[in-house]
Amino acid sequence: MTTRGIKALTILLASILTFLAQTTSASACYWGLHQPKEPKLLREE
Amino acid sequence: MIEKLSGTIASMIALSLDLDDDNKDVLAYGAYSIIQTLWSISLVIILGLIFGVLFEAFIISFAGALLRKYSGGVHASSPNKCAILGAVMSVGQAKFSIILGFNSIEKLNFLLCLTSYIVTYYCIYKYSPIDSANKPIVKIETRTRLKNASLKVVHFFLILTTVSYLLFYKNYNYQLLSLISSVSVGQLSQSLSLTPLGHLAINTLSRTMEEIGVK
Repeated sequence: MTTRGIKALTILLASILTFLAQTTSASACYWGLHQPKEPKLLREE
Repeated sequence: MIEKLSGTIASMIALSLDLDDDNKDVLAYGAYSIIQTLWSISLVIILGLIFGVLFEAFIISFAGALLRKYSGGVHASSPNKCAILGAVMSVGQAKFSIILGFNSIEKLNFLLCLTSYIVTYYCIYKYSPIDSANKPIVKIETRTRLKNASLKVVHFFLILTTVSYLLFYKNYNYQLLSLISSVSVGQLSQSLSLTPLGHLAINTLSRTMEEIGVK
């Protein structure tokens, strides 16, 4: 796989993880009984 | 371990894309949510297969999780306790449902269903949403949005239950009774976890797990 391909995959993964983080942050909880500390950028302050 | 893994994934991506620490934390949070979810689901599937209640345990877990997404609830103090407690509770509730006849006796099934909806609507009106120290809900608009979303989830379950009953009385497929009782148990257990007694129960179980060595 080329460097460009790896970079594109990394960007895609980062986008997916950011979307998941924002979706989790927008809700009260998610699947499960544990809630980790919310990151500063997603906190409602 | 899940925290370390999600942190490592986030660090690698942040290094590759030259992101700052705040954005790295967001990536770690996202990675954590997917890893923890997959781990929780895997445990439900494994225990469900071992005890022969895969369908029921999965539906109970799914129904509870969908409602929990908006209503919040009490939390275990670590991801491992969370996954184990969730899986054991889902499988245990599935087994009890079958033993007590909720999946096979129509009248009992209807009684469970009715009780579940009364208790769930009450608990959501009275307690939802429940926040936590790690994820406080500050704005009133957010509280209102989450409470309304919780109610919509229960409305959806109610429609699903009604359609399932109509289909059941058309062709007497008892798998539909299993579906109805599993959804009822899932939402009932989640709504009870919103109550002070639910908090006490989960916290006690969490402490007991810590004492027996589950971190």
